[in-house]
Amino acid sequence: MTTTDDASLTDRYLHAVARAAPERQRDGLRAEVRERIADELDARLAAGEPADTAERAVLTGLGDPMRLVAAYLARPSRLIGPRYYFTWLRLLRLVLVIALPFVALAAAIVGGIDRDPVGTVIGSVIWTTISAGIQICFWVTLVFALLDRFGDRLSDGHLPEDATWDLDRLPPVERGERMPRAELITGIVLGAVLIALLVAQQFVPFAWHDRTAIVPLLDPALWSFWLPYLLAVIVAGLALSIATYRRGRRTWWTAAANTALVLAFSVPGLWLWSTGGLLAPGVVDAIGLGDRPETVRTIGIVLAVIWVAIAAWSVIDGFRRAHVTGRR
Amino acid sequence: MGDETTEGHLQELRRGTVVLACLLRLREPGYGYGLLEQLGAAGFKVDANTLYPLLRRLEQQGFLRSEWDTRESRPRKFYRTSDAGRRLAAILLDDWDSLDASLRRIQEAP
Repeated sequence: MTTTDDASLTDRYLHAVARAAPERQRDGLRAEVRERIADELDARLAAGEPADTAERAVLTGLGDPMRLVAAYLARPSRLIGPRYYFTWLRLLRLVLVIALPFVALAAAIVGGIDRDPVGTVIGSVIWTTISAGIQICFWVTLVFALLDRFGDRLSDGHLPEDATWDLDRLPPVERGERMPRAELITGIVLGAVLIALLVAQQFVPFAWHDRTAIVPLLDPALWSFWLPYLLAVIVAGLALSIATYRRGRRTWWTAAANTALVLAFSVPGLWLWSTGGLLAPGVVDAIGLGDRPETVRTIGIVLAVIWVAIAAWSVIDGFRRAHVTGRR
Repeated sequence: MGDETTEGHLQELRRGTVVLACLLRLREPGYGYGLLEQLGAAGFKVDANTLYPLLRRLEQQGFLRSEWDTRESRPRKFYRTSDAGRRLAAILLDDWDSLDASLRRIQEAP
């Protein structure tokens, strides 16, 4: 290709059209567009328009050459069309929901085996999970984009049935948002795990430093009041879950009680966390972060933000569900 | 008229009729721009960006045949309605008539 300085706008437009068209249809398409440009140009010149503005007006009317070629060849100008959109959405959600927890768990286990400091493990879990999520999104979307373009050729015109939907998959109607049993079990398991962790951190080493076990994680002085208090709040939360389940539905009362408990747990907890009173003395040094106060600060803030987010979500979710119940 | 929603509905209503108009008009051979003018003169406002791709599609589906006319100084692609195109036009025209009758009945019903 040589210089295009002396080429007219029309030549350049036709060149762009030819470049956007597949080899087989290139000449035919170029000839067709050339005919159209010439005809439209003649009409404008006949109406008395000056030549250069007429040419510009005609080409502007034709629009982006890529778009024009797509229209002429009836090519899809979209990534995934309506035929596969919902299949793609459901499958992507399903794969993400199933795969990511395992990815996160695997990253945590690997970090644990390597005896990395807690902060490093948390960072690697977050990073690995995000990159795995991006990978999954990319590959699933790529497969569907290809299917949307070339799927017809594989299935000789017969559209495949949408395997991700049939009548039996309709979700059951829950009367007044009855609390599902799975949610009760999840709540009890989480509460029990939290209690177990709070107790176990006193005896079970959470990390090793120079082959010495580091115990405890939390300041033993807290056993005089705060740790028993937090345990009591967790137990109260479990009781509230069970009571809500037995009553069958969430109401403004359960939402309010949940809010009270979340505040009772999070306000002192976050206060202790932010003043550095939560961790046992020497823990930060033991996990190798003693000389990096900035890192410690960052990790502390990230964890606090996550804590606040979870607490806020719990409160909002309680009221949202109470609202749903109230409307029925 | 005038507002965008109305324009959208009108466009949708007319979409299929452009096909029918082309098939009927091209019983006599014609080329893109000439057809655009003929349809316009007959009261059919068609956008060029709609018409040209439509002609290609109808040709691909076998309802139009095309031929490059190189006798003039400037080559032009001439389209002509095929036998399949004539049959399709008859079916579409029938449907147009019955739609018209149905709409009248609905309109006149109390």
